[in-house]
Amino acid sequence: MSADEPRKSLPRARGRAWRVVLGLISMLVIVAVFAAALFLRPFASLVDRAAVGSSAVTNEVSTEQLQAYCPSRMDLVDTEAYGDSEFQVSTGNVASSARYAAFGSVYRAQVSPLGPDYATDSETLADQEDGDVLTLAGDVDDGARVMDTRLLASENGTGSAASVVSWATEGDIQGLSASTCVVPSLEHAFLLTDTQSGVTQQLIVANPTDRATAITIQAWGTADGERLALSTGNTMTVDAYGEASVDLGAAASGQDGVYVTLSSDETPVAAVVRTVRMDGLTARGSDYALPVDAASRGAMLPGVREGDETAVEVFGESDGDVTVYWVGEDGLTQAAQGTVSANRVAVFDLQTAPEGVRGVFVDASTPVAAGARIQRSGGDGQADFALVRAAEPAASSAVVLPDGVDGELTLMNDSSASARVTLHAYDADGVEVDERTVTLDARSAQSLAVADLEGEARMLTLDDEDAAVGWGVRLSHPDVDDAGLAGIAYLGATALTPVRETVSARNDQSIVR
Amino acid sequence: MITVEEDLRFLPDTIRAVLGQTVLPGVIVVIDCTGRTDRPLASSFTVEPAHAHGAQGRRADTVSVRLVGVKGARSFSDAVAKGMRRVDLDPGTKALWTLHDDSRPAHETCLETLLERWRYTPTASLLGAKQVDWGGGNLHDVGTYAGRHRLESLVVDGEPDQEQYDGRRDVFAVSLAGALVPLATLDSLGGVDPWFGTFAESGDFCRRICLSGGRVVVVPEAEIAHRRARYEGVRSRSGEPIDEDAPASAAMAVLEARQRYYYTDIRMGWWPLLWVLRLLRAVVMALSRLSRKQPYVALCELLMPWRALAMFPTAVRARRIVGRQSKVPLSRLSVLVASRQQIARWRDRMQAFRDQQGSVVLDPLAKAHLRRRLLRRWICAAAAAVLALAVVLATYWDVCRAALSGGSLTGASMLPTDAGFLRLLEAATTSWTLGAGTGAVAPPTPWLLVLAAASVLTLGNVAAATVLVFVSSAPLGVLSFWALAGVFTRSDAVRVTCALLWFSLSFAFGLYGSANLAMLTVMTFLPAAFAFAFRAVGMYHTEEPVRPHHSVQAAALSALCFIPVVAAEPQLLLPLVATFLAFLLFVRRHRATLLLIPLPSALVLAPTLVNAVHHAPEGAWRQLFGDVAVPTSETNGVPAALGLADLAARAFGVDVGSGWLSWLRAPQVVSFLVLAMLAVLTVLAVVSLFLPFALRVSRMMWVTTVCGGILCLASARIVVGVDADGAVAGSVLPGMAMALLGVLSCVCLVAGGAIRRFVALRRPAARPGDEEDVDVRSTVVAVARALLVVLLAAAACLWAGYGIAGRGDGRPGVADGGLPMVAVDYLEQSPDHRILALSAESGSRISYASMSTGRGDVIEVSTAQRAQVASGQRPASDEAIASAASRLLANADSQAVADIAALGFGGIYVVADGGSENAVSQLMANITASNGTQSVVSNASGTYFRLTLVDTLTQGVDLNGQQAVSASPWRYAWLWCAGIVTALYCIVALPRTHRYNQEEA
Repeated sequence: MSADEPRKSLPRARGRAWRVVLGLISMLVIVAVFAAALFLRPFASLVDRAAVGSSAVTNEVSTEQLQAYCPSRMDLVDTEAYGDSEFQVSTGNVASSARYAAFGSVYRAQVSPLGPDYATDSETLADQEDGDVLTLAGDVDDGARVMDTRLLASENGTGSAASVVSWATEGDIQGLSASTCVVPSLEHAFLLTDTQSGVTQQLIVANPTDRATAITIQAWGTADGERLALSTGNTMTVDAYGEASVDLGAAASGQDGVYVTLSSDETPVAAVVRTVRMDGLTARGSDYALPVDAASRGAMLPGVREGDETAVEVFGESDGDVTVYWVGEDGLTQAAQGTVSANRVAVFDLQTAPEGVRGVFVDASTPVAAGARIQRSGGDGQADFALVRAAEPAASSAVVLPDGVDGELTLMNDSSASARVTLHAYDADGVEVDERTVTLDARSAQSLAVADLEGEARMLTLDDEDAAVGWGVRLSHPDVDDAGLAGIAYLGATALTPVRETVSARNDQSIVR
Repeated sequence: MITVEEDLRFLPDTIRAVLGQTVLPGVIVVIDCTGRTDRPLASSFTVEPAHAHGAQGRRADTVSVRLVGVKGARSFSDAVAKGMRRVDLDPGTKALWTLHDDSRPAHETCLETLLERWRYTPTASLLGAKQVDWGGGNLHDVGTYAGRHRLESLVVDGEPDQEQYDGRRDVFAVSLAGALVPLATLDSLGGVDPWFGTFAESGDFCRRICLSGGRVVVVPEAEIAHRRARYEGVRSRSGEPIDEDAPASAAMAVLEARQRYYYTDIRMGWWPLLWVLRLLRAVVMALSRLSRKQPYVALCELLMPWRALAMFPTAVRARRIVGRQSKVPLSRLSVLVASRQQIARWRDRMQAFRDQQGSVVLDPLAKAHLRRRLLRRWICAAAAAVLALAVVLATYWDVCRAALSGGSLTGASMLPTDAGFLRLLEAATTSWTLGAGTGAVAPPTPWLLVLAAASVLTLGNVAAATVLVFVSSAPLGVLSFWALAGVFTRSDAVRVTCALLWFSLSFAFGLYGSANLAMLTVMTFLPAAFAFAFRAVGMYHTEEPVRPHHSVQAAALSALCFIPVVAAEPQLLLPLVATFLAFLLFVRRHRATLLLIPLPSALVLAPTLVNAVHHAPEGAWRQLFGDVAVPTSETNGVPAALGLADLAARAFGVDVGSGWLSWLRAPQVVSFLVLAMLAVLTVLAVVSLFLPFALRVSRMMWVTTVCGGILCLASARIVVGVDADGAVAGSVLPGMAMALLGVLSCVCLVAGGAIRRFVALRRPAARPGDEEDVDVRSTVVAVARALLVVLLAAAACLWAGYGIAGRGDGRPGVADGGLPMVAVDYLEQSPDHRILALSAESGSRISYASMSTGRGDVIEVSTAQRAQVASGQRPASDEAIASAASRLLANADSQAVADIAALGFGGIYVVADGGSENAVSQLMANITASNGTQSVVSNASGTYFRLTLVDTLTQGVDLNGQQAVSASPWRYAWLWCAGIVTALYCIVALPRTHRYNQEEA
């Protein structure tokens, strides 16, 4: 130490003992504090939190460029050819058809396959001289398609809608499946049916932009209110102009109903879920599940008919009471009543729909997401089901029917006043062939067969000033019916209202280097 | 008359000397000034004359001894006067022999000589004796002469007595200690005026004697050995004894006494003018004292004019007395006045004497030994510094070479810069940040001052200054830790390897890889600051014949070295203050020196501290934990409660999971080895706590380590900013650097003192066995030290290698791109021009930046701004820009362009390589399609659009806020205070040229 240290006369023995004791005590204190800091993690709750979750500011901007993703035709998850040919799964004679339409003041709309040929290989929607609907018909046998629409103005009655339908009379996916085309977004939520054995829920995520992105998936089931631990992990990446899929039935198996959310890191993505049910070797139906809209206290599920086996799934983020009603032309009839627990899917099995039913209405005390599964049986134990999404009323909406299917409209009014709506029908060339005005009583539903409309109606739009009516089209295919098989599908209405997009802006001083 | 107070150390010698005189005084009065003696005590003894050779028979005489107590004596003469009144003196008493309790007659004929001289010079009004020091050999003064309103003794205080002044007779003034005071003089002049205090009353009394025609005579043959207890600081003002090893400073009392004498020597009418002149003089004298490393005396000088103001009322009375008794003008007494030449010669002699005093006289062998050690030491240090510089240059040669061609250094943690020197100065001193929208009020980033200082070295080129900081931090860091290691051990090998280990720590932390210039500044200056702090209190090892001593100059250097450390990482201020408080406990002496060290750092950081405290409820205190490096959740992590081991793994860039002892499961072998080496060094540091020869120092450095560790723990829990993924925690690197500083210092302590013993001439050993024992022990110690050196060298290589190759972080780069020339020209035209840069990352994500220089600039970084964003507050202009940018990404929107132009931007620059090509082309198409834009230039890195909605002459952001902040009086007050204090510290820190001293590094 320094030369000041006692080289002078030795201190008294007492002073020396005092120094030793002090030295020992100080050493012990220092070592103890250091060891505690090294290994312990005290005050785990004293962690600072930021008031905002990200440095980016999100703004909702209205956009005049729309995109829609049309899934490819119904397929099975794995088509491995192993084992006895009797036990091999096959898609049989599955076929598909699609129709794309753009309504209102549209600059240009085109359809491109999702893949490496995205930029080069596109077909443009065309219109007739006097039609104000641009349309294109095709199929999705080769893969998914993306429709890009550029609008001239963002107003009610302007927008795009498209649908795909696939059917098969042989193989393991006998029946009819239909889906409207999905708008890409940064987040999606799905309310799926059960994931018991025999059910595959294949989630397909498509990225129609030129930047790869990572997807985070979270799922909640029926057992408890905790998040499910997915056995396939909860992240996946999707390439630019590509698709990726994961089997949610394998990831979150054994549930009676699953609520799935997925969020994308970088770019908006589109997602659908292909649900296929098999009972041993018997096909029990297939359909596309589409993302649910924002939760609300009341949900309209049109398209139910007498004799359908109906089940309703409800999911809410907080506890509440739920009442399910059958809706017909005369009004509401209570079908079931129960509670929904927070973060837990509640399933209401309504058995067979009685006579006069046109749809189901779900009334809840807390905001919930709701969906219905309607099932019909055919010959030899075959059955087919359709997944009905909650219908969102809008000032102007459209349903586009692909070639080959027949449809039956259902209009539902869940408000306490009667509603008056105008239905326009267009044929395959985009020419308007019929116009009807329909008046609906409060809390009632009406149905109307498409075949009853004038001309060959392929595209339908509904003008509803008060935005009180929800509607959809229940589909059936003559080929499937002729084969004695059950085949039902449902197409919900696509809103033709100004679209708002969420853009996040971030202050970053390092972008110019 | 002997006065005595609480301190009784010198009284026995004085009384013994008085009783041993050949001529005894008739009455010996001991005046007790403590007031404890209530009743006077009397005694007497008879003196039998010894059989003196040839003396006539003398009769036996009685000497009476009285002990009286007085209370409230203000000075020596006051005590004597009061004592006189309490003692009834014999009317035949003609004179008093006044003695302090610490002034003893140096030989037995003192009184006899004085009396004899008085008999031969009956006209003498006062007879004084020669004042020598307590040992009797060195002179204090032999009477004083009159100078310009002061007294000049013309005797060098402390020079040996060779009877060179024994020819003096009549002088202007003598000291009253040991003086023979005739009572007639006292009566005629009305006594000594106690108002002047003990130091000046004799001067005033003698002045009055001389100016009224009397004679003051000094008797050099009579010597009084005077301890001058109060003057030399071994007695406090109230009379308590003070330990002789730690004398207090009597500067205040001495200066006050001189001031009183000065003012009473001049007519009262001149006093106001003189007071103003002396006020200016006080400032000059204070600066001069500071340059002589005497800060306390400087403070006393500054206070003198104010004490003069306080004393004026009472000085009037003293002056009147002097005036009334002055009959003879001083010009007639030219013999008693010291001439200018005499004073000049005296000053020279004093300077030579002082020069001689400070140096340790060394013989040639010792000097040669010291010179050899000096050469060897500095060669080792220089070699290590050159090695470090070579490593950095070799690893980043392309970066250095490219930077010399005009680009600015940039890295994962560091934004580039394109600012000029004046812009940099403005950003460093104004509480305005340019990076938030069109600007917001936020305290300036302190590290920019360091960058400005570096830019002065590169003659104003800021971009080159960043490279200078990057490259020079290597050799300077090595040298500064080498200096710190020298405080704990003198072994060259251990010092050099430890310094290189500290340098390799910069690599292991990834500081060079990510160009984290703020942390590099800390790593450079922190060890030097600690080294100087230890030197300031004298707790350091030196070479053998030289002794360590405390040094105010080192304290000033330490304070100056702490300024860049705290400016680069303000969070270090908190553990440094805590460490200093702990140091105050451990340091034996010179505590006051330590207290002044944090002052300049606190002043430089003042705007940040004031803002943090003022807006603390809004979360502004978080800015203390940020720094100029870019915070990302990959490097800093998410705020979480972690232990120190996890944070050490994070600092070294090793990815471990959470959980107890998870750092044992480091993914790669190299990472595991790095952490294992850290554990070994920590264990060695714990061992240092057991060393008996380094008890204090080891605990001091361990307190540093623990404080650094606690800062790590705190910093990892605090949010300093938000990035795209969420909250970002503060950086753990500053706390970890401080903790590792303590650990490495303790490892140096384990190496032992290792002072090369200086043996002038080898002597044969007393017994042969001794030599062997000593040899064995020294061999063991040498081997152990060599092993330690090998371990440290291996650790340095491991950490450096890991940092260069194994860490996997990025490399620093050189940013020489930026906005196109047209845009940069536009920005340089006026300080209120701005350009908005946009980068479209995807169809729904866009980034924006408000550019005031050609590149995304480091001068626009503000930790306060980041803390505000984390607390959810954004300036309105920021929100407006975000909204307009979002709208432009989605559609062609003329209103968005109009909003941007209304904020004051003159152009939009779209970065071409932002992310998604589609999104970028969509954004450019949207901007082109909107009204009010005009594409000016487009190249591979981006497109620049000019906004045509607002006239070019009136375009510009609103500078009112910036000007208001810039002209604010608080800003000027801060700048002036910080500047003056730093300049004062620099004056104290400057090396003095004409003192040749042997104190070594």
